[in-house]
Amino acid sequence: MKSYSYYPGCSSEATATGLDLSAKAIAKPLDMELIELEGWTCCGSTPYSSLDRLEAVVLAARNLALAEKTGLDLVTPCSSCFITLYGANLQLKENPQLMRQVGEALAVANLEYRGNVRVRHLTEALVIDVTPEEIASKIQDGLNGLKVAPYYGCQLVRPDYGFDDPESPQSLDSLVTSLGGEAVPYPLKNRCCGGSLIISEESLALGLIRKLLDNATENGAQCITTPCPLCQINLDAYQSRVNSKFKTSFNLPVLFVTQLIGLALGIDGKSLGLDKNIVSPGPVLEHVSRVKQEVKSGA
Amino acid sequence: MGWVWARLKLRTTCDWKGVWGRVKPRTPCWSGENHELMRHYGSLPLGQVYANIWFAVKSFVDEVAAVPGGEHIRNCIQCGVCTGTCPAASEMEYPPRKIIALIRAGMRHEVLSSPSMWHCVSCYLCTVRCPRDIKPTEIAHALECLAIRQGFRVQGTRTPAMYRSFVDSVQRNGRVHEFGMMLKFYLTTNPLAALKITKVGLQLLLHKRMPLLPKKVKGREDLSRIIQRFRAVRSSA
Ligand code: SF4
Ligand code: SF4
Repeated sequence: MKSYSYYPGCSSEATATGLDLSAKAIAKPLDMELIELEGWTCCGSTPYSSLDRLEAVVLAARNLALAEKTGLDLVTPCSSCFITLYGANLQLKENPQLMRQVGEALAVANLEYRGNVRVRHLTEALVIDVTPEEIASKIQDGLNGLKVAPYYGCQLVRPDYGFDDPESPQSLDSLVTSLGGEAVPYPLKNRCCGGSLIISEESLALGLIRKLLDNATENGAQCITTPCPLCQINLDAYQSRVNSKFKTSFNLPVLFVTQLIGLALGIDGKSLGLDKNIVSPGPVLEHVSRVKQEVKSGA
Repeated sequence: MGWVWARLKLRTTCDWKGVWGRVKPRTPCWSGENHELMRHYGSLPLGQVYANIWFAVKSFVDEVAAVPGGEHIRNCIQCGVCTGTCPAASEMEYPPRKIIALIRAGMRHEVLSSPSMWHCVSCYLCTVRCPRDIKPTEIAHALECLAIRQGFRVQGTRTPAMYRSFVDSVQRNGRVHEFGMMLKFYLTTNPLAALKITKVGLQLLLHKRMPLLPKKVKGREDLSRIIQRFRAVRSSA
């Protein structure tokens, strides 16, 4: 069993509860131990660093310092936390003066950071450490041909931190396939959903979300899967806004990739937080369980 | 006094290479701080006057090149790949290529008072596609910081208010409390606009994805002490 220091991210306590629940639920069957970082605080994400770049690095540094004490890789399921923590880590290592100033600040809380933490996205850990083959070997009935649009969003693959191709990523496709699902072609798989600007510039973001929903529907997807909390809430909770603004009738469930893995592993919907999805994942559950019943009655 | 105000205006309206040479400012300087100091002392302390002059003579492109991510701005060949790629370009008066041209032309006021960069959705497509290793995403966020720091009032976007609500929530709670942040954002911008998203909000509430009260986070006090200390260290450096 491989252990990781786990950073859930602020949204895990509210809009992305399903991500946190499902990440924890799939860890054990996949031989991962996610040890939640005690006393973690905000990573210093884009809104913070857009108002004060250096202060945002201090926020990240506090979490990195906590993680360094554990001696484990720091894993987060949130794409935005991932690039924030990763980028701040890089900046601290490259800029000794900043590292010194941050060090002085951390000292008031008896913390120090030496730059030894490896920041990773949970999806990366699933693909590189656990591997899709290993996941496939733990699955019995799986998703059996469920057509899934793998939606990477932006910050899992960009700026390029070397885990997957920023233009034509494949990691989610391989995960979906390993679960017994069918990853449909999804040309817009790494395009933007508008992120947090859904709040301040709604019409810009709704336009982007519409294109993503359109593209998935055109390609016959029965659901979309994504690792990112912002992508999930934009595509899921704001789907009704898209429908009323553009007079469309999308009804496409949007599952976290960890929820999808959990389903394939046979974990019940409630433990995966599927009851928190706004567009009902009913049809997806039905597809998966119908297949299971067929398999059972056939056997 | 009139002389000081002339410098102040100059500082924010053009890139002026004067006969003063470069004077290291006593404190970082922005309009908000000038107002504070003026109110307090009745006039500006000499160090602050120097600071203002320094900002007046410092070229805008130097300033942007000094922020992380802005280093390579002079290498831009104006190819337009960034703008062609940008999902928010249609909403921007100055999309990435153009804003870089304006920075290099020293048009501080036009750039920093523009809502354009506040429409950047941080998709990083421009950053991975730029053939000259420029990071327009970082430049956009750096410009946002400069605009705030130098006290520009930006019209035509609600993003600054949203970012402010976010940061306030983090500073108060240690983590962002999404409901509190949204509430503050709508109250400070346009409470009526919240009506449009009542359905979204209610659904989130019903699905238990929008707790109304923030959590008491263990590291909250530590975090504020660290931030306070960092501010002190930074301003004395
Ligand atoms: S892609 Fe790079 S080089 Fe081309 S215009 Fe944009 S910033 Fe300049
Ligand atoms: S990161 Fe910002 S500026 Fe660059 S392409 Fe995306 S939205 Fe446009």
